[in-house]
Amino acid sequence: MSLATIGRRSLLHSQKNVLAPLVAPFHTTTMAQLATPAPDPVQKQPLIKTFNIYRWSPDKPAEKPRLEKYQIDLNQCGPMVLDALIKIKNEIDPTLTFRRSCREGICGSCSMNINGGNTLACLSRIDRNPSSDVKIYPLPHTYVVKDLVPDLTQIYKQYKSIEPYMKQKTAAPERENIQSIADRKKLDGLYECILCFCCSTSCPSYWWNSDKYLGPAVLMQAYRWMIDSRDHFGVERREALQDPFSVYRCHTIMNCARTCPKGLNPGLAIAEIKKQMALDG
Amino acid sequence: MLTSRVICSAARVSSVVRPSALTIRANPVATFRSARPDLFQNTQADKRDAVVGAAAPENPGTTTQSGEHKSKLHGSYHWDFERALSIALVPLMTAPFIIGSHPYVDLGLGVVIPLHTHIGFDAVIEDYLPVRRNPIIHRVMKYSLYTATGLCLYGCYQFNTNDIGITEFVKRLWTGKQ
Repeated sequence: MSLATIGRRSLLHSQKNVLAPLVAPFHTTTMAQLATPAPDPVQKQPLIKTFNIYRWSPDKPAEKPRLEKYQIDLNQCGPMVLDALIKIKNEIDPTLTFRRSCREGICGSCSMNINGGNTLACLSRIDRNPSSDVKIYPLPHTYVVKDLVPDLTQIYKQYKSIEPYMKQKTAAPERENIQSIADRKKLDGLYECILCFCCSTSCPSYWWNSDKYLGPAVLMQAYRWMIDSRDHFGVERREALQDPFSVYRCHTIMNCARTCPKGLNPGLAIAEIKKQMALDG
Repeated sequence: MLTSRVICSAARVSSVVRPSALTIRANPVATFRSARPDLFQNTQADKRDAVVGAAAPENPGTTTQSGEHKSKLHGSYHWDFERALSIALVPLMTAPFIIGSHPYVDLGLGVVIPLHTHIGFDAVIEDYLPVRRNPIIHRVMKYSLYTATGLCLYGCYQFNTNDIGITEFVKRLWTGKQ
């Protein structure tokens, strides 16, 4: 604490002591205006929704995965599926396991398969019609660590393999790498990717060949570095993809663009990679 | 007023102190770029260039991505050829509607259609029966595909030269006339 604040405080205290008897009579609130305990708030009718959630535990590996039913009162729950999951974990079953962090669609942790589509639990609203259940599975065609937690090791390895960082052939500039506004615009629609891997795990081609095909999420990031005006290794990056599997297992099925919770288009980025590879000669 | 003055003087003290700290242990301090790059330019610029610049470090573990053999013949050239066949089919398929049957159109169709189909089936085999999972079935399917495509090419050639030709055949299928 600085000297000035200490000084000001002590001054205030002394003033208060001096003025105390003078200030007291100015309390003029009548009894009727004082706060009274509120009547009980109106309770909404419970709106019970059933959640069917995929459960599997590595502690009991012999047990087959199963769907477990949870009943939630939507009037006592937040609007998003993630809110329901957190409510289940807090109040019903603390063994339910899932990834979550930011709860606002920017961390990419809570990607899962909700009602048949890959999406972020924090961005998907609960359908308030109680007649239909909500079905929640982990991301399809991934190894499951536990419940809704998929093993993303392979995808992270593939992401590492495209070298997702700036590489330059010239000496580094003294300060920033300057980029024109037009060049910066080329990164729009690519840099927003949060690597939730909803797209890669929705791609049938990635399901069949995930060991060799890089998948939409990783390829879109590969393209993000290819068209970055500050990166000098575009040709080398493309040469590293010159085989039948890395890129060319993309058959433009476009599940990636359809499922992306951020509204991005990995299919278009892959098409651009193919075009640039063709133009490289 | 007093506090702000204290903060100001503290900032001034630190900016005075920092260069001396820099000379004592240059490396760890200099990596934090502050608002005064002129202090660091001489000490660190060369080293930074060595790391980030011309000799950008290669990561040997990550240069070959899928472990596949890199070859343009199986990469972009293959894709270019595939696209070229698809594009070639557009005029070949529309031409008979305009100019009627023509031996060159028949010849073109007799080559392009089998090759186009071959690439399509080849993709099916690569996708669903990859060699690393089904080594035997993959080879059997591949060889049968090559045989089928070869026979198809030969058959189309025979049909175009010794018989009525592909477009005329399709026309007769439609009209039912001899």
